[in-house]
Amino acid sequence: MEKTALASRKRSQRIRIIVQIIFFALIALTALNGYLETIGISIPLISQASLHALCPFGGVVTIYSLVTTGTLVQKIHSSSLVLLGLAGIFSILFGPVFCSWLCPLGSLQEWLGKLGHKIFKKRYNHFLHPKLENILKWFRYPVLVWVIYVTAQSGQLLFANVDPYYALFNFWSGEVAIQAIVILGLTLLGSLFVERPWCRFACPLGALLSLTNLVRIFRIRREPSTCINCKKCDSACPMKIRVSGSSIVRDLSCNSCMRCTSDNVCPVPDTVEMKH
Amino acid sequence: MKIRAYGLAIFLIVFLFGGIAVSQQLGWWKTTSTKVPVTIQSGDFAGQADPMDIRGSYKFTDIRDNFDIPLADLGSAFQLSESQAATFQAKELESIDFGDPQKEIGTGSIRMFVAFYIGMSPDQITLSDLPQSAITVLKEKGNLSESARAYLDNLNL
Repeated sequence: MEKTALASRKRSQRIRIIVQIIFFALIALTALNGYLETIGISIPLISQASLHALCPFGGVVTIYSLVTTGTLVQKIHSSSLVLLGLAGIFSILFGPVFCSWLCPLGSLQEWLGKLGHKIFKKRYNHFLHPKLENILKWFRYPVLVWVIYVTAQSGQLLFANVDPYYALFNFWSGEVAIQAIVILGLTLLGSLFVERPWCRFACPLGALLSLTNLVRIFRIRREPSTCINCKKCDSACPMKIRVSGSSIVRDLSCNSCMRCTSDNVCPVPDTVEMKH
Repeated sequence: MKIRAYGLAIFLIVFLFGGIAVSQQLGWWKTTSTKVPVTIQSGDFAGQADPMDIRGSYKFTDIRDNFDIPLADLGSAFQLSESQAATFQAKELESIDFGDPQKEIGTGSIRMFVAFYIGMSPDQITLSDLPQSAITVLKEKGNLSESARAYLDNLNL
C-alpha cells in the first residue's frame, strides 16, 4: 500500500517535468526552424513561427495599440492574443499554471535550480534575506506597468531588448540586444542560488497572471483537521509560501506547481490539494 | 472537485492545442506577418502600400513586389548584387558597413528610399539616413518629388 502511494507520488511529480520538457522542446525546435529557414532548410511538422508569436506577453503589450489604432505592435502577431486568452482562462481556473507548467524559461530556471540544490543543499533558495525577498517579490508589478507604458508610447516592442526568453532562443542570431543576453546570463546564474529568480522578481507576464490567485476557481487548500503540522508543504514551496499557515493559499506568488500537495510532499492523503 | 497533476497535464495539453486549432479555423492564429504593408488611407497616395510599414523581416523581393521597384535598383542602392538582393532582408542592412560611421543605415533607410523612389515627399515620411549609393540611385532612377530632390541635394552639400 505504502509502495503504491510512493509510486503514485513519483509519477505525479514526473508528469509536470514531462509537460515542461515537451514545451521547452517545441519552442527550441521552432526557434531552430526559424534559423534554418534562412538557409533554406526546415524541420518537418515544426512551426516556422516567430518566437514573439509564441509568447502570451505579446498579447498584453499590444492591447493598447489594438484598441487605439486597430493594429498590433511591430513583431507581434495575433497568435499572441490567442495564447494570452488561453493563459488567462487557465489562470482563472487553476492560477498561473502557464508559468509552472508551460513557460520554457521558467522550466529552465527550475532545472538549474535542481542543480543548485545539489550543489548548495539546504542553503539553496536561502541566500537572500527574507526581508529583501519580500521587497523584491513586488518588483515585477512596476516592471509590468513600465513595459505596457513604454510599448504604448513607442509602438515598438522595446521589451525585446531586455527579454531573457527571446535571448534564450535567439542568442546565436545576432538579433538579440546585449542587455537581454546579460539579463539571461544573470537569470540562469541566479537560478543556481535562488528558485526561479526571473519569474519571482521581474517577469511582467508572471506579475499579470499572479493576480488570478485572488480570483482563481481551483485553489490550493489545506485541510486543518487532518494536517499533522509537519510543515513539509512549507519547505517544498519554491515561492516560500507558508502553506501550513492557512486553509486556503491566496498568496500572489503561488504558481500552482503542486509540489505542496498530497500528491507530492504532503504525507497525509487528501490534506493539501488543488480543489474547488 | 479535486484536480490532480495528471488531470491538469491532460487539461492543459488538450485545451492549449485545441484552442490553437480552433483559432486556426477561425483565422485568428497568425504567427508570421503577411509581408504586405498597410495601405495609405488618405492624401495623394491613398490606396498605395505604405513604405513606412516595411518591416525588418521583409526581403527585398517583398519590397519589389509591393512597390514595383526593380531588384537591381534596390541592390545598387544598398551595394548588393542582384543575386544577393533576392534573399536579403531589410534588417540585415544594420550589419553592412557603408563606410560612414555617422550614418545609421537600417530598415528606416529602406523605408525612406522606397518612399522617395515612388514620389513621396520628406514631410510625408519619417526621415532616416541613406548611404550615398542610395542617393545616387534615387536621383538616377527614382520618381523623385521636387521636395525630395531638394532634400537629397541638401544632404550632398
